[in-house]
Amino acid sequence: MLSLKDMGIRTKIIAAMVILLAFIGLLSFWASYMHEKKSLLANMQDNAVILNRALIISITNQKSIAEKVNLQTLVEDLSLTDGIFGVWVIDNNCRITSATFRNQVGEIASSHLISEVLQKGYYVSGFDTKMGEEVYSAVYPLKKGEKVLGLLEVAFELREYRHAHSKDRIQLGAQLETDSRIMAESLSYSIQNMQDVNELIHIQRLVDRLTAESDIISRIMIVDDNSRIIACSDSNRVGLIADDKGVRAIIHGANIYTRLFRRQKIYMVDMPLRIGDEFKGVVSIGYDATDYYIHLSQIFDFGLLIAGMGILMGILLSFQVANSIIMPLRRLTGVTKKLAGGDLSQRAVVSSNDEIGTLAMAFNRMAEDLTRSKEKIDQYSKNLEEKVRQRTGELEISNQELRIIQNELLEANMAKAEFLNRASHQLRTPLTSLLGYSEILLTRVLAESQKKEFLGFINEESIHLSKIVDDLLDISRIESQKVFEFVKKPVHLDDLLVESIKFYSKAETDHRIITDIEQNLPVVSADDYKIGQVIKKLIDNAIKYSPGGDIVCKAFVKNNTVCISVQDQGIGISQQDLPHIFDKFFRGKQKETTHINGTGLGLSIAKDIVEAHDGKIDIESELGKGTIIGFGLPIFKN
Amino acid sequence: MKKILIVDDEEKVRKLVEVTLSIGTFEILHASSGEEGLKIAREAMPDIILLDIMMPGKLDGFDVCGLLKKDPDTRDTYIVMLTAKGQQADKKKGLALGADDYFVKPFSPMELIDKIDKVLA
Repeated sequence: MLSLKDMGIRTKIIAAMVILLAFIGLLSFWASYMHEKKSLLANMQDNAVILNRALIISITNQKSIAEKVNLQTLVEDLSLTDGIFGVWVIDNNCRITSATFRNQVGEIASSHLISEVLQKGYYVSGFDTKMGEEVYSAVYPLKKGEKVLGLLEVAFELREYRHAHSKDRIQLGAQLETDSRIMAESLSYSIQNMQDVNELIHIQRLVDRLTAESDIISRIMIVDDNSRIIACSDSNRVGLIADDKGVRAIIHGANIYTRLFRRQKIYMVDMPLRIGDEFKGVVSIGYDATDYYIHLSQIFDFGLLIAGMGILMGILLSFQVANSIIMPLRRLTGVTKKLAGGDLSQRAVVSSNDEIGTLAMAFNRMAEDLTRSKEKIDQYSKNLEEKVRQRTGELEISNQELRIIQNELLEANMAKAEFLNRASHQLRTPLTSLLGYSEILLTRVLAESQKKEFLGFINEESIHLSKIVDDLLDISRIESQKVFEFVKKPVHLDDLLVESIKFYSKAETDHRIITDIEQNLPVVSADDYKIGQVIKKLIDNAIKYSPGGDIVCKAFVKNNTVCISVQDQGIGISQQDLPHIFDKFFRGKQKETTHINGTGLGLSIAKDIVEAHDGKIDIESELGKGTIIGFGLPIFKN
Repeated sequence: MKKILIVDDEEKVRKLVEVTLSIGTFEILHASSGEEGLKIAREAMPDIILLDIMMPGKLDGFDVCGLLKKDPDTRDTYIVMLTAKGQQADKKKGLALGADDYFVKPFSPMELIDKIDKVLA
């Protein structure tokens, strides 16, 4: 079941408009139909009234209408006389005006006697046949002056005459003739004595003629003031009492009464018949309303056609209007769907200035905003991606740096652990000797020479321990990042070198220390104790890391610096270790160096001291071929 | 007479051990490096080896300990590792390699005598 909810907006609009149009069409059709009907009826009534009036005028020009009825009555009364077959009053057109046989009124009488009388204008009698019966007729002209208005025919029965003997027949015939002549004559006389009998005849004739000749009049009835029908298109009814609504209404004083007989298609108009102010009767005319009905049905059909066409056009128009509303909406819907599907290039067609056009424009604005927003978002996300990529790259770099730093830290940590291990070993060895020998000296009885030997051990180990403690103090200073406290003054590095070498000449070594010192070296600004320490460390290392041979110590000027270099012929340093040689706690990784006492801090401390003097320390070495290490300090300027 | 091998690169330490143990009846053997210690240990089959860890040369105390404990001939030799005080890692490593005991440097000669006595008891 299709409900209103399921219908599209298009169907709804069309349905609403069609219903409205149909309603309006029907209403206007009905209004115009009713209006037409009314005007038609009014028109017909006007015509009818005019005709009625004309008839009334023509009737009222005559006097004593009642006389007309009297004639028929007279005829009928006469007919009752014994021996009379029938009586006829015939006008000069051979039309029967009154007759014993009422149904013959209005018919054309056909008798050789009649035409003879009408021609000759005098009485004729003779045998005749009426309604299949042999009669004896006497025809007598009705005259006014010399003018023949009509004739009277009286027919006698021939029964007696037939039954009579032939000898009596002559006598009977003569008597018949006489009787009929007398009868006709007297009757014609009485008729002629009736006032304006011709006029009376004329009314019926008028009625008949009008009825016969007029296309629009289908029925006429003249009624006297006693409701008796004086004349009628249906002549059978002449003399009867008219008792219908119209007649009654008029008798009761109405001026006009109209009725429409739908089935017979007759329009009845009843009006009073007055002579002067005196009411004389009723004129009732039935007009043929076929035209009216045809006209009405034509109007109806035409109205129906117009209404149908109107509805059809309305439907077409509705479709047009609905389409003009729906199509843009549908297009908009389609475009919206596509837009929702991601096609941002979609735009609605703005084809009108109405709400839909506004909607389409708003939609387009929205779509443009959307496109711009998307572009912005794309741009943003692009930028973001770029930034993320950049940051990721940076992070990777910093991660790499961190990894490097971590590795360095790990290495430094390992070096430190290694150093602690070494330091503990270094401390432990002299301590073992100190503790052990002192305990032996204290607890045992020993020879004097042995005591001296052990005390010598204790002394040696004490000195060694003191050296280690010095280094460890330096380490602790570096570890706590304390700045060296330098006492700077102009210093001759060559003197300092010579002093240092003197210290070693006392020691027992397998090395030969050679000096190569330039003359008149400029002074430098330095803490002589600390720089002396550096020189000693360089020589220490040269001795420590070479089994013997020459150690060459040089002092010279180079690039505005005074340089000291120490060269040995020792084990050298691998290319792998060389970059780390100044690192704190670093010691050569070769197995050969592990037995050499050292803290791994000597060169690191030396580098810190030299750099604190704005100087530079450098090393060259090759594994197995010895090492040259040296430093330069800037020449002191006042 | 029990043989005691002292393996240490420090001559003064070796001498100290010898002097310390001179009051007992021990034959004291000296080795100044890992290689030498391994060689003497295999040749002389000492009862106790006092083995220093940190020594110059290709073999350190751990190497020597491991090698001796793997060798069925020397496996039963009682090995005392001479370790630095507090070096738990060294202690564990030595014991894992099969060392029978450890002795902390610096040490008192009396403690060393007590230790040796306990081991030989």
